[in-house]
Amino acid sequence: MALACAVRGLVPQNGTCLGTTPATATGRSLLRSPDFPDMNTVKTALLVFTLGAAISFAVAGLIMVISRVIHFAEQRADTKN
Amino acid sequence: MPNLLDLFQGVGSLVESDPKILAARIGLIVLGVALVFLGKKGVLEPLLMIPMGLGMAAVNAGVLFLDPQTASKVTEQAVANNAQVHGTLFMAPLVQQTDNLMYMLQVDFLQPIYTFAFSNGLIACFVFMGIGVLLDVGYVMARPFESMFLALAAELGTVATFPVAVWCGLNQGQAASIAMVGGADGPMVLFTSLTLAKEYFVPITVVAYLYLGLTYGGYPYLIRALVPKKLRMIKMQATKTAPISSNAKLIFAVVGCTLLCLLFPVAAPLFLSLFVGVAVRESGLKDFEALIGGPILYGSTFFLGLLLGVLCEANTILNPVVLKLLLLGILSLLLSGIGGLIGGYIMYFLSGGRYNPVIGIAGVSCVPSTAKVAQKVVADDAPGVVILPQALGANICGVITTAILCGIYVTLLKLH
Repeated sequence: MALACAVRGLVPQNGTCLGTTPATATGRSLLRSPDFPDMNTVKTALLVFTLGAAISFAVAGLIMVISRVIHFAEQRADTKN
Repeated sequence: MPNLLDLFQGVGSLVESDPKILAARIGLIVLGVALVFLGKKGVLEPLLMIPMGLGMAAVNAGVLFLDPQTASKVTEQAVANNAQVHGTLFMAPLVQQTDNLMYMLQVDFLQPIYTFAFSNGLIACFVFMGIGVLLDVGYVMARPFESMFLALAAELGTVATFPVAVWCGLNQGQAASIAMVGGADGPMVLFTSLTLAKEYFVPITVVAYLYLGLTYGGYPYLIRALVPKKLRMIKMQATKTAPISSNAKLIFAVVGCTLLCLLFPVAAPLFLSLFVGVAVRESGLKDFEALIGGPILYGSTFFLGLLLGVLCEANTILNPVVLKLLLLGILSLLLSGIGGLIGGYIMYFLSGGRYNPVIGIAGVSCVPSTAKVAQKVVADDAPGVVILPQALGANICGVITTAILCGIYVTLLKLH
């Protein structure tokens, strides 16, 4: 417990980690919640992954299209020659 | 008769240090020497670790008493004539004001390289150009979806460490920067931390490069722990793929670079650096290829290692945040390795047991270390099995997915 709290920069007390955090614009408690995960950051992480996956597969699709088109064009050029 | 401690100021400053600083300086000198030793032995990446280790040892040994004028420039505050301020003649990374910076550029020998190449990310871009020249995108173009899937699976640490780091008390920019360690791409971590967490870019980058050096030694144990020998020995079927011309690779580099720069202008310097390397290679510009793949890549790697070592001063490392960064960095890299192997297992099941799951670890984009690690582990158990082409495909895709995730993090968090 002590190590878990120390890593988070908090103080162990009655089985939880207590400590102050800057007040946020959303009016969250000044005491850091021991709850994990924080849904906002999980949502951000999921958004990053979803966007990353979509763009990565779009790049993969682009790679495939380019390969096919170039291969086709080169085959046509060979046939003409 | 002068005081001996004034004559040998490295020893004098050590004796006069606060006990914590004293212990940290001695510890870092020992660590620096150990890094040189481990680099020479091949346990850690020697290209980076030898200059880094020596820099670390030298900067913590070579502390002197600064004269009042230099001390006032370094601390950016008025210093009393009899005050003794400790410092070095290597560089002063925290100097901000223009006048002080101009003064330090004439005093500290590494300050010009730090100011004009390191703190603006130029050195990271140079390393990326060199990586681009070394990449053969043909491996990716032969099997793009399979490689991209494995690379995405190996980004588990990059994504999952982010909420854990925020839970540990880091702000979102710092959390994203340390989470990027899971992408196992040093220049990318340097770039993200310079953009999102400038106050911690020194410890984050040092942690990242230390761990990247460890992947070579650590990942084989992870593979052996998670993949049984029977599966490690699966022979990959030779698949017939159409030959990929250099024209196709060049067009991919041009279109891919333009598209990604259009989507993520904040990460455009990285995309340009990577793809210009690929374009030079595929255009057959041999002289440029030799320049970028030789002097630029090795010169940048050398100075990157040296500057990282010199940045490891006791005062920087004693920051309590460093402990969190050390734990989060290893967590991120571990999760990415596990994610890659999970991706490998998914491919194994999808292919009906004909796919070697070890290839998944190569999705972690430490080019080409993880691909070589995967091949080496497999070859140890079954010398005839070759997985390197598939592993290199996943490895190169790992660079692309890490750059994409870096672009998304930087864009999203800068919008907040």
